[in-house]
Amino acid sequence: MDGTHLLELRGIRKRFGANEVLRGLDLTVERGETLALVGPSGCGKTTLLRIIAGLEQPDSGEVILDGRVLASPRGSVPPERRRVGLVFQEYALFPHLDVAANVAFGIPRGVDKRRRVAELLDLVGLSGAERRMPHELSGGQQQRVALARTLAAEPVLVLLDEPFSNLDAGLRARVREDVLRILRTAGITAIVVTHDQKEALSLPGRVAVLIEGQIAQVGTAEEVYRRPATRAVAEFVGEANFLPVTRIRDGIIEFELGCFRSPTPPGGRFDVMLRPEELALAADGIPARVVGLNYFGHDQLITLALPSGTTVRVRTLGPGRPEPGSTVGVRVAGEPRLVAER
Amino acid sequence: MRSMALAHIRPRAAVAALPLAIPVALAAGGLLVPLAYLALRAFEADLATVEELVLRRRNAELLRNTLLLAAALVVTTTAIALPLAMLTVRTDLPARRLFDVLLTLPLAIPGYVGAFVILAATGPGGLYPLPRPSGFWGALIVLTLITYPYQYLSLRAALLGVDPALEESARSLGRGRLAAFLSVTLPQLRPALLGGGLLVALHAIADFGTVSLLRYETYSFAIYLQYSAAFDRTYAAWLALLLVALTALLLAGDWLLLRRLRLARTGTGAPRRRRPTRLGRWEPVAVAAAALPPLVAVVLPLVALLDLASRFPAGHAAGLREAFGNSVTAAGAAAAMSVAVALPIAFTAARARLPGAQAVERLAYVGYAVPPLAFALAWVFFTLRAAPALYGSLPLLVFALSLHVLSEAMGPVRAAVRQASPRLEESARTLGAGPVKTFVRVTLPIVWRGAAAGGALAFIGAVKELPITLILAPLDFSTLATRMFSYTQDAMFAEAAPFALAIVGLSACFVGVLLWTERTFSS
Repeated sequence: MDGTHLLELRGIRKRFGANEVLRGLDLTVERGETLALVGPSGCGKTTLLRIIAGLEQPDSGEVILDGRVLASPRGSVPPERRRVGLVFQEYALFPHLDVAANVAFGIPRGVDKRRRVAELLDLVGLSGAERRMPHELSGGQQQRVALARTLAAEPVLVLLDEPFSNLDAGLRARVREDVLRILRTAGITAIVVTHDQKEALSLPGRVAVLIEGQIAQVGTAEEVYRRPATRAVAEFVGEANFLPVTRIRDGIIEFELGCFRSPTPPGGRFDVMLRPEELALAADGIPARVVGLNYFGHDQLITLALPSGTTVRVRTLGPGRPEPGSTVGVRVAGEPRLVAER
Repeated sequence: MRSMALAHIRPRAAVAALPLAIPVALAAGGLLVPLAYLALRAFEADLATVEELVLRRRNAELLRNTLLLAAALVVTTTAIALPLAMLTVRTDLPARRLFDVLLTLPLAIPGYVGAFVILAATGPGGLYPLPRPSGFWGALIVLTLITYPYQYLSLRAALLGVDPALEESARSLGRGRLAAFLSVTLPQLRPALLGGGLLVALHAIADFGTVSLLRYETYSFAIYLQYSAAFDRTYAAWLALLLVALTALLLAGDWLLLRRLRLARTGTGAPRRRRPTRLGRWEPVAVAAAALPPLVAVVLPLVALLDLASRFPAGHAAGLREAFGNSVTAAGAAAAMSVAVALPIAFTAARARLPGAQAVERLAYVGYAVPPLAFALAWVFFTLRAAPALYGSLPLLVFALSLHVLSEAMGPVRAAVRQASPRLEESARTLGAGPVKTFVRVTLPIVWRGAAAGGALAFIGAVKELPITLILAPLDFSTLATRMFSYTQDAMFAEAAPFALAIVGLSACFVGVLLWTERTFSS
């Protein structure tokens, strides 16, 4: 048994009717890390969380937590025996119980409930709110009560389903900092699910990208953004330009905007990828016609048609708005790399 | 290490389906089997007899009478309800909240009590010396006064949902105030008019107490005559079957019409609240108009009942006590049973990932739509054949009553079960609570208020119920409703009055319970 893995998922499959949501998914989560699980909506994120928590059974595959097999084709450990905490997107606080009773709900027998509730409310910054009812709390406060309630049950793994999506934009950043601090203080392993790629990249730990029922890539935020494993990952985590390879000679990849040295990925089709900020306007660059312009204030996105007809998007900062229809020069300002089609 | 964990592994099994399946099957069986048997019984006769029974001229008369009453009732209730709904929704009528309650109060008066008041308090020498209406007009007046609230509630809800921007658009397109109402708002009220009209018409078809006391010959009345006097069983079965068929036709027609009338707001954003129309100097007239229906339907009958009850012979007090006890026993047991059946049905409909799970919930409304007299008769035929020991027993009465009032229990129970989101139970599970602890500590506390409210409604329905009790009650078991009915038939009005008062009083108590649970709900 590998001592550092806390959670291991092997070949998880799940089908709802004709729709196969998870297609042989593998993933390991290390002890103590905060893993961001990100993917487009409908990719199976919530289903995966529910399988880990024991609220759904996988059709095949194994869930192994801390060396215990929680689910396998032979059967499944019920959710209350898993020590996996789940914070629902809508928090699911018990509406008939006050804050203290909500938090105390999962405290194991033999623990001084009053003291533990006080400790946890202190941890989430809600001391003194014991007697308040859930509907009297703001969204951010409900979120923190839900987290305290989950931690009270002493889970070895906490799952958070879209924890920030029910909060308005102004509150979101602050609550995110709070939640991350609480998780860090509690020293607990967590999986945070989000459909927002910017949010996923800004979280401190590794990022797992779930696309079409499989983990397409796991890595640091920078790895996923800079060296996406597939075209789908590249497009999901940010804006991307793909340019066809025109020639490969002695390990040198040539394409319309230049050439670079790179080993070719095995099998399949691949393209050259450049993020819009890795292109720049330059008078001595390759001539291109401006076909579109999106102005965002602090930056702008310019769509250019290259001589071959391929369009690329360039992100520029500061002043200087080229006229649509005019001709400008474009050059590579970053590091081009090959990305496989699938 | 792995083998230790395996000790906790449970084999995959269907979710605990059995505790849900038994009550659902009980309700479905209890509603459908007797009706199926009724049809079987009716077709037992040979063809010539059937032909003779069905094609009798009397059947055509009964059909005409029944349809005439239903159609007239839809017209009169709508004529009362539409202006009232406009008044309370769209004008600055004072005390609108109070009028909302007052205008629905007549629902608490059973039809046979209304008929009783007409018989006992009008005509020469009555408390209200007006000409005594009987037959068609008597039945129409009583049923109009006690059923217009169905149409009122339906129209009120629809008017509240109408987007004021639509009428404003029509105005800005050049229509006048009235033309805008007629061309834009009224068409949107059609589903509500149909829905409320259906309830009212079903009531007219199923009504037994009013028409039989006022001697207007509809199907229900004829069935009762067959049952209590002649009892030609085959003919009674046929009449009951025709009554059920008429109900089914009405439901099917309504369904077809409604299906083509799916109206919904298009576009985004919440509809704005409409600014109420100012009544100005019309205000006193409007207040008087809104106060009139509850006055005539509730206050005048209560005064008449109190007046008559003051002449109650003291020797009958023991009978009153006994009937009161019997009513509370039968209605209490039926209410408890209907809640016990409604809960699993609501859970199945809300949670089961089965096609047709919703259909089970709709089944509960079969018990509401089936005319109670036909339903009771179906049970008589069925038990006489299949389980003679049950015939005329208290358990059968309670069971049949509970199915009859199931739909009333269903409403609040259903709302409460929807409130108990599966997320809450799943949260409890991930926090270490097993299925039993989860049910006791999470589901039950959330659902119980709805169950209490549903039970209160079912209780009121069962206390007021007359024909099922009349036909299925054990021989020596008389309730407030049956006693009152037989006293009235014998024109013993002073003897009957306290029974009527007790029925209205019991209903009022439980309306109180209902309002209380609703208040604690919303807080």
